[in-house]
Amino acid sequence: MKMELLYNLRDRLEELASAGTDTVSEDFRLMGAVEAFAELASDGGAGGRIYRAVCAMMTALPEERPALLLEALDIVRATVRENGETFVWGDLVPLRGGSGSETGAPYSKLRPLIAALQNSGSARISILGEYWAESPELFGDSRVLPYLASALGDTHEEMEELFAAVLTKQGRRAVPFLKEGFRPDCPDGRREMERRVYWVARLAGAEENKWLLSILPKCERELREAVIAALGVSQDNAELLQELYRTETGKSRDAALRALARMEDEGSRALWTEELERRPDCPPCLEGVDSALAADMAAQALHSAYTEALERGRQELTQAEMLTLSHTVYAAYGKYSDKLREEWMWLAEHMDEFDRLVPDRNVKQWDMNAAELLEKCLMETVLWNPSENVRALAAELGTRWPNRFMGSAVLTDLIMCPGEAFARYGKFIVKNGLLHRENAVERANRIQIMCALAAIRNDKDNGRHIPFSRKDALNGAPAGMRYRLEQLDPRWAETLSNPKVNQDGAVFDIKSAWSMSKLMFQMEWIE
Amino acid sequence: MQISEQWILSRAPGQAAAESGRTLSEEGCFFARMKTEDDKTYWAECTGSARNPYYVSVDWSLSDTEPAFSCSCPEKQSPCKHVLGLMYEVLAGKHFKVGETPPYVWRMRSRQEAEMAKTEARLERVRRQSTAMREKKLERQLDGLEKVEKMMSELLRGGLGSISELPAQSLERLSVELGNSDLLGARDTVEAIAACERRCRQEGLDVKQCRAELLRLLCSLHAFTERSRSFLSDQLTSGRYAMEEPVLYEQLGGEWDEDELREVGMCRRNAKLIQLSFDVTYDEARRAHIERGFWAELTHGDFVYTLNTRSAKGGAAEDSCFSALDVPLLYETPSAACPRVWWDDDSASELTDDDIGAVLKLASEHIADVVKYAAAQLGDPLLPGSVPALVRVGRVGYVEDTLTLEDCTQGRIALRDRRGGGAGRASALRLSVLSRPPAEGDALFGLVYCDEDDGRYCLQPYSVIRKSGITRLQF
Repeated sequence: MKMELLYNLRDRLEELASAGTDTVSEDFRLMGAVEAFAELASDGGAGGRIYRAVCAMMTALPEERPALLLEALDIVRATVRENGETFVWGDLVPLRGGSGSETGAPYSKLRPLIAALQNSGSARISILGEYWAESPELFGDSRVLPYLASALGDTHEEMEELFAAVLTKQGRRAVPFLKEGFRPDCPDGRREMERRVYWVARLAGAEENKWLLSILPKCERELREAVIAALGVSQDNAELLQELYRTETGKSRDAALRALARMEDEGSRALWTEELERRPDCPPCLEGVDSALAADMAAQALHSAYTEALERGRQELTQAEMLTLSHTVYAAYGKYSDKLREEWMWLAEHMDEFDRLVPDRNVKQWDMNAAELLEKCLMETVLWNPSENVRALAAELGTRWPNRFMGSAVLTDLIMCPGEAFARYGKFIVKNGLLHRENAVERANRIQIMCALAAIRNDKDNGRHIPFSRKDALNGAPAGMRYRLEQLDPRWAETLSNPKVNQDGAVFDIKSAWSMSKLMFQMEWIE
Repeated sequence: MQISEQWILSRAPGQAAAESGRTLSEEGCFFARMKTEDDKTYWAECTGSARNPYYVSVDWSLSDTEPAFSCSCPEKQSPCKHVLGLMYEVLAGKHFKVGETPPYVWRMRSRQEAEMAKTEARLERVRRQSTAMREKKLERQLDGLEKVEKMMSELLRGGLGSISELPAQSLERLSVELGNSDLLGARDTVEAIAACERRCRQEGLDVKQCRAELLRLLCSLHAFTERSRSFLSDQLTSGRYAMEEPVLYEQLGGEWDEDELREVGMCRRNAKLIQLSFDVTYDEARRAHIERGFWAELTHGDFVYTLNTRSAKGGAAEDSCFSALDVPLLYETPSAACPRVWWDDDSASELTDDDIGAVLKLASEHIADVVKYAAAQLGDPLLPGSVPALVRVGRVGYVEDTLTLEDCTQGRIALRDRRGGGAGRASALRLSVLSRPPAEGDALFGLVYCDEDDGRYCLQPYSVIRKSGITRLQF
C-alpha cells in the first residue's frame, strides 16, 4: 500500500474533524485526497474498506457523518498499525557504559522524594532537605533525576541552593536528563527551561555546544536570553556571539555581551572595549564571568567609574551614580588579571580620596562610601577566588595599606593557613594595657580583622567552619561549597572573649563596618 | 469456522507459546492427523519429550468461535503449544484424514457441555432473581450511550475547535451521569476528553496540538458505544453471560465475582510470580495514580499485571517487589494477552538464580514474532495501547539517533518512550546511560506499542534481566 496516500488521507480526515463534519461539502482537499486514494480502492483489502468508509461518510446525512468519520478513522488507524514498520535501518553503534546510577531503591522509598519534587510550596523544602541530609544518593538515581530537572523552575532560594548542591554533585550524569525534558515551547515552564539550559552549560561546558546551537533557533524571550548566555561555553561561538550582539535587542543583547566576556579572541576584546566606553551600564554583564577578558574589562570599568567620580568634584553621589559605581565594583568580584592587579594598586593609592565620596543623604540603599565598596570587593574576591595570585594581591595590599585591606589578607590566611593567621594577626585585636585608648590606626586594623572573622560561618551540622560569601546567583552555589575550613583556630574565640578586646565598632557598628553586610556577616561561629 | 494466524495469536496465552506451537508444526511433529467429515473437529498425535506422543484435539462442534481444546501433555496453560501447533497444522492446509471422533474427544466434549450447562443453570438462577433490576440498569445504560453519541455528534459536526464552546462543565456533568449509569468506560474517556480540553485551554494550545489525542479518545469512545449497545441489547434479550466480552464487562460496571472466576477456571493454582517492573502514572482525568506491576508467572510461563488505582488524596499504595511470590490461588480477568491478576495470600522468598533463569527462558528470540503478536492484540481500541514483551538481547545501541534493540537474528526495534508520560517515562534514556548496558544473552522487558505519529512499532524498555538480577528502569 502506498503509505503516503494513507497518511495524507488520515491528515485530511483529522482536519475535517477539526473543522466539523458539516463542512465536508466544501472540503476540496479531502475530496482530492479521496480521489487520489481511489487507485487503492480496488485492492479488495484495507484500501477498499477505507475508500468505501470515507465515501459513505461524505455522502451521508449530516447527523450520520460524525459516527461514520470515526469509523473511517478507526479503519485508517488500524491500517497504519498493520503496515507499521519495525526494523531500524543503518549501522548500529553499541552502547558503552554510561554514568547512570541505579540505587535499586523500591518505589515506596522514592515516592515521597518524587512527590516533594513534583509539588510546590514551602513544605516540600524540609522534606527535600531531609532526604538530602539522610539519603543523598537517591537524588542521583536516574529514576529521580527527571523529576529533579522538572522542578528547577522553583523560585525559592533554598530550593535553588539545594538543586545547585545536588546537580554539582551529580556532574555530567545529570546532563542527559536535563536535555531530555527540554521543551522550548512550554508556556508555563520557561524558568524551568532556562535553568535546564544553564545547568547543561555549567555541567558539560563546550561538550554540549552543538545542542545549545541546535535549540537556539527554537527559543524566544527569556529562554533565548539563557541560551545566548550559555553559548559562552565555547570559544567557537565568538563570531556568532558578536553577530548576535549586533542583531539582538534588550536582555538577549546583554546576554550576548555576557557570553562574549568569556571569549579570548581579539574581536570580542575589541567589541567589549568599545562597548565599555559607549555604555556605562555594561559592567553587570561581567558579573560572575571568570576570564582574562572579563577581568581586564572590569579593570577598565573600575578605572573609568572611579576617575569620573573624582573628576565630578562633588563628594555626594546620587542614586544613579552609586548604582553605576556599585555595579562596576560587583563586576570585579572574584576576578584577577595583571591589568586588574595594576588597577588595584592605583585604587589603593587613592583610597583616601574615595573615602570622601559618599552617598547623598537621600540615598538610602547604600551606607558604604566608594572606598568601602572596594574593601568589600577585595574580601569577596578572596572568597570567590583563592588563587595564588589573589592571595598575593591581598597580602600585598594588606601589608601596604593595612587600615584598608588587612581584612582581606587575614581572610586569605584564615582560609589557606589558619594556624598562621592567629600568630600573624591575633595581636592586632588585643589592647595593650587596660587603660590604653585605641587610636584610629589600631581601630581600623581591629575592624578589618573583625570583618574578616565575620565572613566565617559555623557549619554546626558538619562540625566545620566555612567561609560565606553573598550567594553567587549566577554560579548557583555559595562560596562555602567551593572550600571549607576544618576547624578555626580556637584561640580566636578565646581572644575575642577577652575583655581586652573592644567589641564596639565591629561588625555591629553601622558607621565603621559594612552595615549592608551585617545581616550576612554575622559572627555565628562564636558560641 | 475461519482460522487465521491472527486468530491463533489472539488465543495464545503468550507469544512464546504461539512460537513454540508454530515450531512444532514446522518441524513435522504431528502425525495421525484426523478430522470429522463436517470439518468441525480436528485431532492428531504429537511427539513430545515423553516416550509416548500427546493426544491433541480442537473441537468447534459446540461453538464456531470458541473451540474446545484438549491435550494429554502435563502443561498447565491452555491452549498449550501442542494445541496451538495443531491449529497451525490446520492453517497450513495439511492433509487430515476423515474419521470417527475418538473417545478422548467425546470425553472432552462432554466435559465442556457439562460446564456450559452448569454456567447456564447458574445464570438462570441469577436471571430469575434480578431481571427487573437488571432491565432497569440496562435501560439506564442505553440511555447513557445515547447521551454520549449526542455529545460526540455535536462536537464533530461543529469541529473539535468548538470543544471550548461547550457549556461550562458540560463534559464533567456528563461524566458524572455516565458514572451513575455504570458506563465506567465511557465515563473515564469523557473525563479524559475534559482533561485534554482543560489542558489546551490552560496552556493556550491550539486545538490542532491536542487533536491527535482527542481523536484517539473519540475513536475509543465510539468503539465503546457501538460494542456496548450491541452487548447490552443482547443482554436484555438473552441474558447471556459476559465472559466473552471481558473488557466491556468491566467498563459496564461489572465486578468480578471470585467464586464465578473459580467456577469457570479463571484462576491459577500454585502460581509463582516474579515482578519485572512497576510503573506509576498520574491520570489527570481521574485525579488518581495508576500503579501497575508487571510480573512473570513462572508456573504457566506467561506475563500478568496487577493494577491499583490510588486517589491523589491518599490511599493504599502498591510497591516494588524484589522477592519471588508463591501464590496458592491467583485470580485473573479473562484476557488473552497479559491478564490482570490479583490474589489474597502469598508467601515471599528470596529471588534465586533459578528464578532468574526461568524468567530468561521466557524471552523471545525474535523481535518479528513479538511484534506480530502485539499487533494482533493492539487491534482492539478498548484495550491498553501496549503489550508487555520480553526479548532476548543481541545488541543494544544507536542507529544514528535512534536507540535500538537488535535480537540474535539481527531483527531490530526502536526503543522509545510512549508519549505523554511526563517525567517518569524516561525509560529509554535511563537505559542509554546505564553503567552496564544490556549485553548479549540478557533480556529486555518492556511494552510494545505502535507510535501513530510515524506508524512505527516501538518498545518502551522497562527493565533489563540479567543472570545477576533485574535492573529496573521504572520502579
